[in-house]
Amino acid sequence: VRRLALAALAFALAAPAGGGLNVGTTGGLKDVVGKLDKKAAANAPAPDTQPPTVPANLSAAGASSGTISLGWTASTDNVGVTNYRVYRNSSASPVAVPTTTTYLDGGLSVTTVYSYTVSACDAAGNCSAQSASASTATLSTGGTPASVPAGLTAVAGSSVSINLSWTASSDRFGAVKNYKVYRNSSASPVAVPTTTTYLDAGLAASTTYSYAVSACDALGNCTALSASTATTTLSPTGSPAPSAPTGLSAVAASSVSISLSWTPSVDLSGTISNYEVYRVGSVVGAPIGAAFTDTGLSASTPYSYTVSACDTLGKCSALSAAAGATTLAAPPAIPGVPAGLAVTASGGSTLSLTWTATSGATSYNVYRNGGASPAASPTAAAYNDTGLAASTTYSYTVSACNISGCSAQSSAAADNTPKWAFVTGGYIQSSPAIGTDGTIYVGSADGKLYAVNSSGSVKWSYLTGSGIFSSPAIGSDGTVYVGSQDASLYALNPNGTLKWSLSLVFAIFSSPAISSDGTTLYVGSGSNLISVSTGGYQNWSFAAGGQVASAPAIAANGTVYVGSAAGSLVALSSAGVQSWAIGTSSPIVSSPAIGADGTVFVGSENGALIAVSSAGAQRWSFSTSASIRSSPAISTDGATVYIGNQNGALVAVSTMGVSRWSFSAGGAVGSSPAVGADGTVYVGADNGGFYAVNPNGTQKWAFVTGNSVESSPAIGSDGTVYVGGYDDDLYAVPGTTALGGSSPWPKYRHDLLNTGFY
Amino acid sequence: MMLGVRASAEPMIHEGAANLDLNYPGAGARYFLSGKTAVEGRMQYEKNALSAGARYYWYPPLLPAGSRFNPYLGGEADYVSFKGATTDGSGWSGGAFAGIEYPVSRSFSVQADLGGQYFSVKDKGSGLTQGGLEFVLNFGVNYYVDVKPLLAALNSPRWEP
Repeated sequence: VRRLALAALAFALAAPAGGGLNVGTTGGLKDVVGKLDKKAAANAPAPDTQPPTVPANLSAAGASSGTISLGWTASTDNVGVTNYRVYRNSSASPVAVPTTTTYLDGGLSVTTVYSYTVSACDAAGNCSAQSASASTATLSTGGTPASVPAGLTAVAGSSVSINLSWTASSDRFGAVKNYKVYRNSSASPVAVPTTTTYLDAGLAASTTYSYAVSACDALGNCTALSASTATTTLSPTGSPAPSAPTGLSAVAASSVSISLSWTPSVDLSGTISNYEVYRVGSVVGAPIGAAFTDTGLSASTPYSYTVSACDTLGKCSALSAAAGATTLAAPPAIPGVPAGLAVTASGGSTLSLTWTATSGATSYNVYRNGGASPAASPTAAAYNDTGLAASTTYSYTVSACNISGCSAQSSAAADNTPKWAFVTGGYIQSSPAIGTDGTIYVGSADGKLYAVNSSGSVKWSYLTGSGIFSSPAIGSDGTVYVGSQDASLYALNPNGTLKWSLSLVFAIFSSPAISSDGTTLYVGSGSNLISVSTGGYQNWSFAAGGQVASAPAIAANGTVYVGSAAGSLVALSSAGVQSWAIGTSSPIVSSPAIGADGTVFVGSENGALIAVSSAGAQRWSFSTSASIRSSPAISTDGATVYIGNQNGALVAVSTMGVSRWSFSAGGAVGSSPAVGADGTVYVGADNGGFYAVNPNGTQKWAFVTGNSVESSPAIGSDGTVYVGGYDDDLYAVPGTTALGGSSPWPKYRHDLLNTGFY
Repeated sequence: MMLGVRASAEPMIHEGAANLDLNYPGAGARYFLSGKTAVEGRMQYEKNALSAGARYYWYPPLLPAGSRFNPYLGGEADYVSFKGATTDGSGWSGGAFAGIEYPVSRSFSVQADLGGQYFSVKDKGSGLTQGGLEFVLNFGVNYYVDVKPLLAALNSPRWEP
């Protein structure tokens, strides 16, 4: 081992490679690197000791009030110039070491002279001598832009436009603010663009124009004009078409219309005259502006559009990209007319309105006293009208509205709260009569006939021997005639004193009728119809065969019609001679009404409303399905007969015997209807309700009394409705119109005087 | 040089043994693939010279049984980096060596070897290259660790079924 080691060591020490023995790999590496260093040194170039040539042609020019621009001719060097050293005012150190042959020296004082020298240096740090000096002064705060616009070109864009472009000018005080474009040596510029292009439009076709441009700075200093250039506009036939509209937008405006808009087109040839709007390949509009509304469309339907722009030369662009929209859904139908409008007083100055909510309505318009504009527009089917004058009648109508519009106004309704209630001493079955002076006369179960002022105060009362269920009748001289359960017929003076009384055999439930000449009264008593002179003497008595609770009706020819419990409707001459009789098989408590043609209408306990000609021939019989104790009234147009039955119905039957409608009052209708001039039908019922019913059979309003209402209403000239109740009260209820209008028989006993005479 | 130092224990040259060695001017780690072969990663550094590479050792039975000297032969390949007086670059080297390892204790040994190593370097600035065969003497001290049990533990299933 020793020999081996020594041999290896000796070999290593004597190795001809020249490497020698090294300790560690890094030792061998360093030996090799030393050889590399030697090779590198051997290959290295000779050191550069030659400086560059001296910079020549140094120039200095004031660039602005704070800068001077330097320039010089490049130096040469055997290796290469790496930079220059700029010296200002013989400074020891360079103020800058640019690598190019220009330098803008900044941060200088205004209008101050500075001198400069420059030397050139190479990478070895060899620098030339400094150049000859050059001096100049910074500018004052003013001057002109440095460069006149160059490279002006003019290219005809169309028959009416020329495109101009030029090279940007430099400005020593900052950016060029704008340029002035002059056409055909004009004194004033035709444009002052801020960029280096300009489209001169509105030119004449096939015409040569020359242009020149100057540049201006922020101080308003402008250069001289550039070199001019000229070109000729195109001929009209060579003009390009307008650009196609872009940005087409379609928006549904309604269920039948779509609004379109787009970005206006550019026309290099002339002026855009209009656009053509296409829907499914067909022109649907030619708007001048960049918007159009297509109407007459179908709801919920998609539509697609394109637009083309056309110019005054008749050229049109390509179609725009298509845009579409779907029309909105169709609006809802206009709601129906509100029904069931009712008005009730709610305090001295407030009226509460309610009506049946109308399907599809989003709001309602409430009109007061026929006003053209709504007094309110509530969203619910109710409204409180406040701030009203006390004791004043207000009339209302309501229309139902939604987004599509408003319905027609409902039938008018007014406050149905009684103006007053006059309390008698007994229940009232008697039906009031109204004198020419407005005095209301009504009998009571307390045996008294009351005369009540229209204000509700008692004028006088006259006590008979028993209850008064008969309805008073008023003569032309103001005499009030009324029968009593005490079997006497009374004639009272207008001041309430007794004029005469006629004692009969049987109680009087019937009501007297007064002949047209005012000389004769007809009234039922027991089973007899009695004729009495207005002087208080009985003329004759006709035995009807059954109780005569029916009140007689007198035709224009003097014929007296009356029903009886015998079930017969009889016709008598003024002399008491029966003309005819027609049986109904059931008692007739109802009192006859006479139509315009003389037809007599009367109800029967068998539920039939019958129509009988003046000659005694039954024209028709209409079954109301329940017994009838009410008496007929005829509509204002004379075509409909109204009557109540004991099943709670107020029925409307045409004068031809055909049902029109039936109103459910909720209680037996023994009361006889009264018809207002506006067609409203008033009637009471045994459930205590008093109803106002529209001509179409819908309820207008109702109010509830304290007991049954079998009295039949009378309507005053001011529209006030008077009716008695089983709660002993005589009510005065606000109405809308006076009695009847042209109705031939608008109420029980025919008229306000209760004459029973047609 | 520590040649001639008597050992007081057997060297731990067998499969699975490993050592950390300090050599001049660097350090390395060696792993015995078998009782006769080993691989080593090593790095040497001195000012402006860096060598990093690997060695392969073969311990042939050249000496009679009972000898405490363990002669070995091997090869080496390195990446080298340098900075000369005017040059700066990198390159590679490779060569063969022969040496002897002598155990000082069961855990320590000293070794020395001599070999020829070829270097090829390039100046990245000038692009000049230089090659040359150098004789290199390496010596060092080894500290042995028996990593076989550790390796066995690492190779065993980590989780019992």
